Amino acid sequence: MIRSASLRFAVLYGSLFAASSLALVLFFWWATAGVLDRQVEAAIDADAQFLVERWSEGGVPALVLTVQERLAENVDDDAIYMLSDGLGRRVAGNMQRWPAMVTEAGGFYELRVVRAGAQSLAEVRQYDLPGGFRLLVGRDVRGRVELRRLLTNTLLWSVLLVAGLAGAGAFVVRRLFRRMVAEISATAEAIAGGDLTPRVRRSGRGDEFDRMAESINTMLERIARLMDGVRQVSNAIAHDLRTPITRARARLEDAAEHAGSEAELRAAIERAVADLDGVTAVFQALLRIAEIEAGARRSAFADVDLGPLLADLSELYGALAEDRGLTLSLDVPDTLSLLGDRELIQQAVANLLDNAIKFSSPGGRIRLSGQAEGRHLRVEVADEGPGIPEADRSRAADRFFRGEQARNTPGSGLGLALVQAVAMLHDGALVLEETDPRALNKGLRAVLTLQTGQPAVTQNSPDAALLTR
Amino acid sequence: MTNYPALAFLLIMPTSPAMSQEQPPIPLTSDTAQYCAQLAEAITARHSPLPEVAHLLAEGRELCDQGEVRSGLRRLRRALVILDRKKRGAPADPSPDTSAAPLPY
Repeated sequence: MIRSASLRFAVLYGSLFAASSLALVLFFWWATAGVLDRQVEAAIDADAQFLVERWSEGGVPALVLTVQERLAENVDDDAIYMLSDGLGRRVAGNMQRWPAMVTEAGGFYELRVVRAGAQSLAEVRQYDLPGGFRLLVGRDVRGRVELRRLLTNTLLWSVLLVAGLAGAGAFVVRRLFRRMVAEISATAEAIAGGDLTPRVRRSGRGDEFDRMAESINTMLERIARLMDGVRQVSNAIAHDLRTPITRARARLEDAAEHAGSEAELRAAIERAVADLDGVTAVFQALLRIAEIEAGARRSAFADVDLGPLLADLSELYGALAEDRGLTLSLDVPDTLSLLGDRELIQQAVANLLDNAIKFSSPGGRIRLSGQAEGRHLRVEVADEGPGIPEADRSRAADRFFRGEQARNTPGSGLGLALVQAVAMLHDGALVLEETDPRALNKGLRAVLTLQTGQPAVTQNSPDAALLTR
Repeated sequence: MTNYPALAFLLIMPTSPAMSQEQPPIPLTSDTAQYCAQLAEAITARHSPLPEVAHLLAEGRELCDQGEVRSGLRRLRRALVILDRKKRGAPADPSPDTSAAPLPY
């Protein structure tokens, strides 16, 4: 077994090339030298048939006369005849004696003859006649033999040439293969070494190798983006969780050293537990987003009517908005049907409403609306808050992202990430944009689109969401 | 120079079972000076007035006399073919041509 793939390809190429060329050469041989052989045999048979007819018409004298005529007018000087009687004596023809090797009728014989002092080759055939007479008909095939030898030489040299070309072609194929594999291998080794920047070089010819290099490079780009995302999330987790954990530790330490009573100690422990509950909530949110992105909840999809669902949410958050001096209006048709996960959609819209209430100033208005648009449902939450700067909007749905204006408000930075994951699960998208000044004062409009039918099974991820947007 | 491809070919190609190199070659009697003289005599006996036939006859005889038997025979055979065609071109005569001299063999 050859352990080199490039050598295997080269051997395969060379073998196929040599085999096809050999088949061509054999066909050429059959179509040239073979035809010559068949022509001679056909001429002998036709000649013999005519002579036998003469025998039938006029007996021995007619046959003898015909043989004499044939020999006399044989301008090509290649005819061979012999008629012998039952005793083996020559009756007519130009052979000095009956060849000993020719013993049976039917087959063709190749024998040596002497013609004008020079040796030559002849192909003959015996035909039995009544009365013990035997007729030998043949042709001098020296010219044909010479031609066949010439053809044979030419074809054999062709075979050698083809073998050489097959070897050279195999060598070129092997080099091409090795060069391509070496390029990919070098890139892979560099990446395995920790450097994610190298890419497979393209020749610019746009061939299959270029397309493969492009696919590999695209894959590497995606891996690099994912790695960046993982790094950012890791940093964010470390940063955002350090604060509550540190706070809880400080409270416990302070209580242990300075608590004057059991009640103070208990209160400190309860505050620390609350801090740690926040940490747990963050982890739960992260796990939930990961679960949504994995698409595992698709099996729970069912018919959902968003009309009543949005009305319920409006009622629930309307009270909260009122407490903060805000006005929440609802603009939703009675029925908005889709196939999806009711609980997740409810959670996503709740997150949007929660954000709108959290960032709106007293007196502000919030509008929750929903409508059908083709194969999608569009749910909008518009507020009159400070909005999100354009530069931050593309990152607003990243995990743990918190804009400057959100630094002083409670939250984990996972709310919009979950909304986006829900949108992707339903083959939709989350778009954040500035509200239309004609409708409301300056603020943020969060548009959640969800596909109404069964979503296509795709792997959801933050990158995919960005691409969709 | 040794013909290696032909040798290689002879090694790999099966030889005809009917061919034997052990048999001595058989002489052919239609390439001899004697046959040449017999053909010339047969042509002469036909008394052809055709100049082409006479020319080929003279050339054939001369070549045979010089030892170029096969070349001489080729000319004499061509003369015979011309005579034969001339004969076939004449009105059909089913009776054998008794005026012609007998052909050899």
